[in-house]
This record gives sequence, structure tokens and C-alpha cells, in this order.
Amino acid sequence: MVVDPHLVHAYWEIAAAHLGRMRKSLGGHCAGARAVLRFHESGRARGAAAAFFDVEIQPAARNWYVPLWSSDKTYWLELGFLAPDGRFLSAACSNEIYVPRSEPSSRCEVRLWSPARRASAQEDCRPPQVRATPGNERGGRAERRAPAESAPGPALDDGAPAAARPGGRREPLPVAIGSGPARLEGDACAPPGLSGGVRSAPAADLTAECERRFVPGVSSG
Amino acid sequence: MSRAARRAGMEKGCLIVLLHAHLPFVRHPEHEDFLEEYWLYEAITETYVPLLLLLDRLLEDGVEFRLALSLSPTLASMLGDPLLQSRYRRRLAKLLELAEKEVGRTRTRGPFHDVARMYRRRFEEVRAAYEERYCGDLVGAFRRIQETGKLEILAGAATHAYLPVLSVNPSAVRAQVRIGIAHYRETFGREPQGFWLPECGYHPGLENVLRGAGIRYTILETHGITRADPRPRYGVYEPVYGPDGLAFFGRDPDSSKQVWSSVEGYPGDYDYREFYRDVAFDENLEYLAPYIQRDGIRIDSGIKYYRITGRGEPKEVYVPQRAAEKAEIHAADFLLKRKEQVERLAPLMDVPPVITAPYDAELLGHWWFEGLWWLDALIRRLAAGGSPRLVTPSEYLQEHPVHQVVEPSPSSWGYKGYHEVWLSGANDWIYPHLHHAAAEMERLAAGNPRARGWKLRALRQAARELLLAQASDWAFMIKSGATATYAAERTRAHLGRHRLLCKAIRRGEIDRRLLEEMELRDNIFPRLDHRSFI
Repeated sequence: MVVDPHLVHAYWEIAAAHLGRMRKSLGGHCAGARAVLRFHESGRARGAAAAFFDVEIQPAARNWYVPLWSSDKTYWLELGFLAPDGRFLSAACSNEIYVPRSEPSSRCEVRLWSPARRASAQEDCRPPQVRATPGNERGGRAERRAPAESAPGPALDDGAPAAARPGGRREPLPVAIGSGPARLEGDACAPPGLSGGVRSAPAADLTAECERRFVPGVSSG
Repeated sequence: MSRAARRAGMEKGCLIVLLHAHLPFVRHPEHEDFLEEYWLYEAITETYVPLLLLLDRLLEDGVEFRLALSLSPTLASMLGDPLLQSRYRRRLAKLLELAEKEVGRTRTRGPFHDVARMYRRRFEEVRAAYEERYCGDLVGAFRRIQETGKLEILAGAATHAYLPVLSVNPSAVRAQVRIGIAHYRETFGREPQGFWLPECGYHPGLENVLRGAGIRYTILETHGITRADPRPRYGVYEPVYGPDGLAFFGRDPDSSKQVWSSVEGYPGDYDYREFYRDVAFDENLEYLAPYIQRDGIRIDSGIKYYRITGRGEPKEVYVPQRAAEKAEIHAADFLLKRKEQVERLAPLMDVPPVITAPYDAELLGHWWFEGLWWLDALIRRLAAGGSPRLVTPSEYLQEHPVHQVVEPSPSSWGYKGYHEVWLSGANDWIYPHLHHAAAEMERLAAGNPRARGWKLRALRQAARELLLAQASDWAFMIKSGATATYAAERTRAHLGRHRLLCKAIRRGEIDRRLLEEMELRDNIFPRLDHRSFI
């Protein structure tokens, strides 16, 4: 289970008989074997070398908190024994966990969507037009595509919980309508329409601003 | 402002005020007088009835307003429970008696006497409203206000479980969502549009469950939006859609701090009432005996004579008129800051900015005594026109349906913004048990989809016990140390009953007397569908 972007918690229960069998299979290496939690990073590109790291634990503790140095990663864990000769014997494996990022994403793609994708396209699926205010006239954003009748909306199709899918997290699926990537030049994360000098208003990164103002834990929790 | 005017671009922005009302399911028919049941009685007197009266007065005065409210299934169940209703009536009668005695006791003490009379008047007003206006049916009163279209009530997880820590068993998360929504349909006679995530707790995969249950939107803590991927174009000032089409509104950090912060927030103003000085702790036990718990434990009466005054002692007497004026000033200040906010944001966005301001309902009236006066003043000022305009989340999405698609970030509104409150060295012992019980429940439900008679009753009760064990409140209390013993006992008791029932179902040996006893004690969700766990 994830505690925060830099801490995860694992617990386990291994039957004594199972542990006994494992010791037996380690044979002469049993005495020098170390119990570890092996963190496998999920979602790596096909063909990429397997990425994992081990954290030594005490099996009798039955649970362990593991500090992590990087966030925004998906892992699954194995609890096992690492023999002095490098052999790894797996005793149990975990569910998959996603460790959230601790700062805003640097990916700045803007894709728009409306739930009314099958309704009157002109009225309901059109991205709202920016209001022109004195000194604030602006050009259009990137060209809007006409919504296709058969265009897929955000995925509602297979009913499978995201956590149960390979890889756990999904890439956003194609959207019914949209203006395409709006970040074309300048500050990669400036608000859409503000880059490239289309608007005279000063650019503002509202996400960064919210982050600066945000104080976690301002609640009863 | 007319729809045409809004489309013409005169509107600068919108404001969503959302109150989250929740208490854990605490009902002990096996005890005549139970300490933790008083949480409900205090909240009815100080928050729920005054809130209903506030909304009714707004309606009677023809005030154009919008409010979003999350009423947790556990709270709604308790408000409608005949046993708790009768016990509340008994408690309220005692409070009226105490208030009357206080009016006499303070007769020669000038300003204290005025405060005592204020409490007597308030208790009388609450009694009249509870008995005559609402006939004890507070949930029905909220339902009727929702039917006016000015109040939007959100659904919530069945027992306010903190869903990220249950996600090891996706079936447990699905059941919390499905049963919460089924309860909403039964209670409010319609499909919910929004879903309040307990403690704003979000994890990947939850969106799919909510969309699968027909939910259109939910609310996240600020960084659930700002740390989404890709990066949101307008921070929390525009809702976003997740990949499955669920809309997410992000909590505005500024309006949160103004109300919530113990340092810079309004509730800490020195003219406001001091919560921690109750007459039940100031007077002698002999005088108080009829008004405290039967075991002699002092419990808040709600009669509090002092204002915050300053950081330490001594405290000065409370002056209601001065506090009411301060509530007006703070409402004006809050509104001014929202106006400035939307004025600044509107030119930077191509959709009207929306400020989402969720608060615990019990903060208003109970903890912050003047909080409902503040809310009333705020709503009336907003109704006078201009910007921002009060909207419900559904209304905003209806008017502005096109938004960015992102993958929200796991988050909560708890300490440090993630899951530490509910998963730490103090309370992590509960999770192996909860996860094991959830897996067992899923197996039994899947193996007995057409169960009938006593077996069905046992399955339903096993589900109730599991749901009650999953309440986020227990882990929170264990972590905070407040009523930690009670919380741990509740967790163990429900898990124990669940285990007993599962064993009985597996063996086909159901102890009917024991089952009936459990059904009487933990009677939440009488029409629960055990297949929700499949």
C-alpha cells in the first residue's frame, strides 16, 4: 500500500510450512540467505531490461515501511530470499501499486472532451470561445476537429477496473473532440492560447500557482 | 444573471460551496446511555437542524442560492433511526431543562444571563423545528429542499471507508460505492450525480468504479488535480475529466484556508465563541448530574459562555451580537476575495473559473458556532448578484461541458495530503484483517448469489459487519488518539462478527438467535444486496 510519494507499506503472512520448503530448496545457502522485498518497476518499455531493487527486511516483522527516493512509478513486489550465490527464491508477490508524483506533471498536452458527444455537435461539443475583453482580443486556438459520430469518448467500454488492467494506469484514451495539443511554443506549460503571443494577457501557470498556495491537511483529516 | 447574459460573457466565474456531513455509525441499543452517541445529538442540535432552518428561511425569502451537500449514508441512517431519534428527543429535553436552570442561575450575572437566554431560545427553536416542522425526519427535509433544485446532495461511500487503503480488494471498493449509491436512491428517490470521496481519498482505478455506477463528478483535494497527468491547463479553477469521463473538481486552496485554518481562518477570531469552555466542565458534578452521562462522565452541553478572547486565559464573556457582526464581516471578506479571484482568473481562461469550496458541515455550527451565520450572510450577499455566481457542480458541468482530459493524482485532504492518517504504525494492524475479510466476503457472495432465507440474512449481516469495520473513522481515531480504544474495539467487534458469520455460512450452521441479535444491533442498510461484493 502507498502511504505517500516517498513511502510504501507492505505486510505479509507466510505459512511456516512454506518457509520450511524454501529453506530446504536453498540447501547449503540457507544460512547466508537474506530476506528481501524486491521492487519491480512496471510499465517499462518492451525489451527494456528488467528493473528492480531489493530492500532487506526481517520476515518475522510481518510488515515493513519502505522509503522511496523517486515517485511517479508503478511497482509490484516480491517477498523472497536472496542466496549468497545470487539466486532469488520468491515466497509471495503483491498487488500492483502506483506511487504518485510529488509535483505537477511536465507533460502539457491539452485534449478536450465533452460528455455530450452524441448530442448536437455544434452546440454541445464545441470548446467554449474565449471572451474578448478590451485589450484582450485573441485569435483562435488550434483547429478544432468536427466530432465524429463514432469517435470514442473516455473509456467506458470494458468495465474492468483500471487497477486490474496490465500496467494498472492507463494512458488517456482518444477523446471525442478536442483542439489537439495546444502547447505549440514558448513555455511548454503555459496555459493554452497564451503561448505564441496570441493573447495580450500575461501568461500565468495556474497549476503552479495552485501548488504554491496549497497547504496539505487543511481539513478535519 | 440570465443564461443569455452568461453566454454573452458577463459572468466572471462561479462558486461551489459544498458541505460534507458525516458521522460514523454509532448506535448501541445494548446500552441505555452511550457516550459516543452524543456526537450525533450535538451535531443535530448545533448543525443539522440549524442548517435546515437556514435553507428553509432562504427559500421562504425567495433567495436565489445553490448549495452542494454530501450526507453520508451512515449519518442519514442514524438520522432516520427510531431508537436514536427517541434518544435524541430525551437529550434535547434535558438540554432545555439545563438551559432553563442556567437562565435562573445567571440571573444576577448580566452578560452571562443574556447568553443563557440565547441558548434557551436556540434549544426551543431546535425542539420546535425537530418535532413540529420536520417531525423528526431531517433526511426527508433535506430531500424536499433538493427537490427545489437549489440544493444538490451527493452520494457517498457506504460507511465512509477510506477507499485507497481498501483498493487491494477491488470488490471492497466496488461494494462501498454500489451500496452507498443504492442507499442514496432509496433515501432521495433519484440517481446521484456526484459522489463524495471520503476524506477526498483518491487512487487510480476509482474513476472506473464511479463511472460504472453512473456518477458524473467528484471532488478532489488541490493536488489531486494539480499533479494530474498531463498537467491541467487551469489548475483547480476548471474541472477536468478523467480517462473514463468522470469530472473532477479540485478544492480551491485559498477559500479552504480562510475557513479551515486554525491560525489564519475566520473561526479563530477572538470575538467568536470558545468551543472548549462548556458549562458541563465548569460547574460542579452535583448540579450537572442529570445532564451528563449516567456513568458520571462529563459531556458537552453546548452551553458555552465565553468568547475566544485571546490565546490563553482568562476568557471573557461571549457577546452574541458582536459575534454576529463579525460573521457578517467575514462573509463580506470571503466574498470580496472570491470576487478578486475570479476577476483575476477570468481573463486567463477560456471557460468561467469555478472556485470549489468544500467544508465539513459539522465545522459550521458545532465547532465554529457562528459558521452558519457566516454561510447565511455569504449566500444572501451572493444572491444580490454579480460574480461569482453560486452553482452546483452539475449545473456548472451542464453549462460548461467541455474540459481537459487528464489522469488525476492519488491524494486526500488528510495530513500531508496522502494516506498517512489512515495508514501508519498506529493503525496499520487493521488492514491485513480488513483485506482478508473483504476477500472472504467476495468469495461467499460469489458462491451464494441466489441465497435465500437464513443464509441470505447471514450473508447480508456479514456484509454489514464488514462495511462497518471498514469505516475510515476508526483508523482516524486510532491514529489521532481520540477515542482510540473505542475505535479499536469497534474494528475488532465488527471483524469478529464478520468472521463468525462467514464460518457459519460456510458450515451451514447459522445460529439464528445470534444472527437476530446482530441484526438488531448493527441494523444499517436493511435492504443491502450482498451481491454488491461480487
